[in-house]
Amino acid sequence: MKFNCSRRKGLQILVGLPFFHSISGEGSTGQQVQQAEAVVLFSKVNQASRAFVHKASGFLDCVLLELDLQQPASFASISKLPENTLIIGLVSEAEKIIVESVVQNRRGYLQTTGYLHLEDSFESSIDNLVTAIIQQGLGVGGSSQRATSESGTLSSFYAYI
Amino acid sequence: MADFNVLPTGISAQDFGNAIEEYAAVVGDDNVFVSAENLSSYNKIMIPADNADHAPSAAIAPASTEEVQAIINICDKYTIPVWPISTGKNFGYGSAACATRGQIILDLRRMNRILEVDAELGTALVEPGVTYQQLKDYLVENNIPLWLSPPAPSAIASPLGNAIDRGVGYTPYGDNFFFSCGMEVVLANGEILRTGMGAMPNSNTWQVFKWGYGPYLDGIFTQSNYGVVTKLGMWLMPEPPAFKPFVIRFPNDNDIEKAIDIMRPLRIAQIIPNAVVIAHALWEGGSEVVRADYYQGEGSIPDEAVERMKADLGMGAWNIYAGLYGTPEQIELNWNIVTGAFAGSGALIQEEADLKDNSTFDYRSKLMRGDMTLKEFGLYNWRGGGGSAWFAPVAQARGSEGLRQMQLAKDILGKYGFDYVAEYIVGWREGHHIIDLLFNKNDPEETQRANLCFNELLDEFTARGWGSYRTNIAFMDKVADSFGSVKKDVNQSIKRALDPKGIIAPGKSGIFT
Repeated sequence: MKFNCSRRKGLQILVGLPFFHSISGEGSTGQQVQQAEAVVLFSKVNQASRAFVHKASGFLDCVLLELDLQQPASFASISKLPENTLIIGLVSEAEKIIVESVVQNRRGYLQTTGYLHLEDSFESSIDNLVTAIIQQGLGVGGSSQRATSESGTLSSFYAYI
Repeated sequence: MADFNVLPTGISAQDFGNAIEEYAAVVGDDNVFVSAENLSSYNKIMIPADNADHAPSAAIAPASTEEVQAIINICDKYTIPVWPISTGKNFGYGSAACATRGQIILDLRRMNRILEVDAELGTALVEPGVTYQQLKDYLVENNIPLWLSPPAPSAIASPLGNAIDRGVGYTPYGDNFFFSCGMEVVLANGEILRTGMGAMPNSNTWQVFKWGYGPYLDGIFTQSNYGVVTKLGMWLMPEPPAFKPFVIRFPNDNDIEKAIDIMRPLRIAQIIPNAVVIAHALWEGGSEVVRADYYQGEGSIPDEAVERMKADLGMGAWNIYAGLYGTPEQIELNWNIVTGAFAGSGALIQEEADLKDNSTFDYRSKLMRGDMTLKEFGLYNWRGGGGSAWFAPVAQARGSEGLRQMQLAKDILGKYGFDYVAEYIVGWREGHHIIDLLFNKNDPEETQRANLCFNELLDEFTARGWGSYRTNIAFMDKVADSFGSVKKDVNQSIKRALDPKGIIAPGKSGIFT
């Protein structure tokens, strides 16, 4: 499945007209992942990740993919995603390094968009991050401005693969 | 003519453009990369160096040995250097980047065929792009009871790449080059060399007898730039009837002396047969928690904070991870020997039953039985910022030696404000002392400080006769120099004989023409 109308979607976002609705849920199946247009990656499902996907789902069809360093297979799904899938991540530094290497295998280009301190008032931070990621990921956000400081415990990014 | 961001040294844009067209004719347009965006992943390095110094001019991804030959011939024609990578997961040693700016990355990831697995002889023949996960899946799917011996990046790393960089795993087959058998190598003149018994037409002993006839050549194609290794034979360990992982924890930093001295005879006698890890608390804790939870001040993390972390996580200052392999009877016998050896040492011995749901023990156990886990990447969360350089001196397996190396490393790291995040991987008679210099690569000042720190580590260890077994792409010359001029001259003479134009990976291990 191609993700081939990104700029139109991006414009919809900019004018505040969410174009897609959430079909997301935890524990996505492999088939769901393979059919996804946007895949949202998380370190673990927790309050922050739920807030993140709640916001992102307002804009895009999303499938959640939880990553676990102890389970390399959780990263393998990324290598099977359809071409031109948009992946959006909110993961630890360690997981980002691995995702980056998987994206590299797919010839994707991963762009960091921000860092997040979980101890911050994360709900408002996440709102800003999601908006920044999606705008940049869809090519409507201009340059890669940072949403927060660079020393957070979680990294956010987008990549096309 | 395309615009090129980086050109190989001494090559005009016109010639490079012509060469790129010829590469594309061999591998197809889709497998030649020249845009900055497509090349960025090859220049994503974690070491404390300027990425621009290691920027490639292009990347080419062949799918067969014949395509590698054709590429090498084009490189020879234009005198363009190529830097081969298997999967490019050499993180703390430079990832997929080249030693000098402007080389073409020869990305062998598409050469990912498992050519043969012999379940009876316990051998495999693989291409560079095969990953440990892929080989593991193959063994499981075909119900072949053989084990792999992956390094910590396991699933995403290449067995061939790890072996020819002389990396280690954690099973009894932990020295991955030692347990390799036979190579196929594309030489700089385009010819194909098969080493060992593989040189003989119709030989069926390529993967079972290492030495062949005459000089043994495999070693010169490891950590070197004398050819492009396109196939590697491996010996795989038969799954034992039983396996017993355990951890032995010593409470104090200076206990490294006891830990090594008690362990050494057990390793030499093969009572404990696997590549044992003696992990420092900051290596163990660093893959589990983040530094900021224990210390947010300047300089190295203080001992008081380390003690709090050790208490929280139930770990020692030094934690020996080892395993016993064999029949239950053999294991019981050897377990008595091991526990007897450590009795009265002040160490805490813990078995699997003592450590239910302990994620650190779980990942160490997985590695010691050749399973896949990426848990050790958690180290990159310790300090944050994505900077990592592995300093890897070799020590005699002698307690006093281990203690001296630890003290020296801690002093130097402390001087620059970094933490001693380290482990010893104990072979038969030596220990690879692996120190992960973690820093924030987003901070230029800290990156510069890490560079200076790495330099001083090398200088001071060299001054005491402690050489590195491996290093990153920014320090290869310096480490080569530390082994003396005669060794360097011989390396260079071999290079000139096999690759007079210097087209294969100039600068690898400090070797140029």
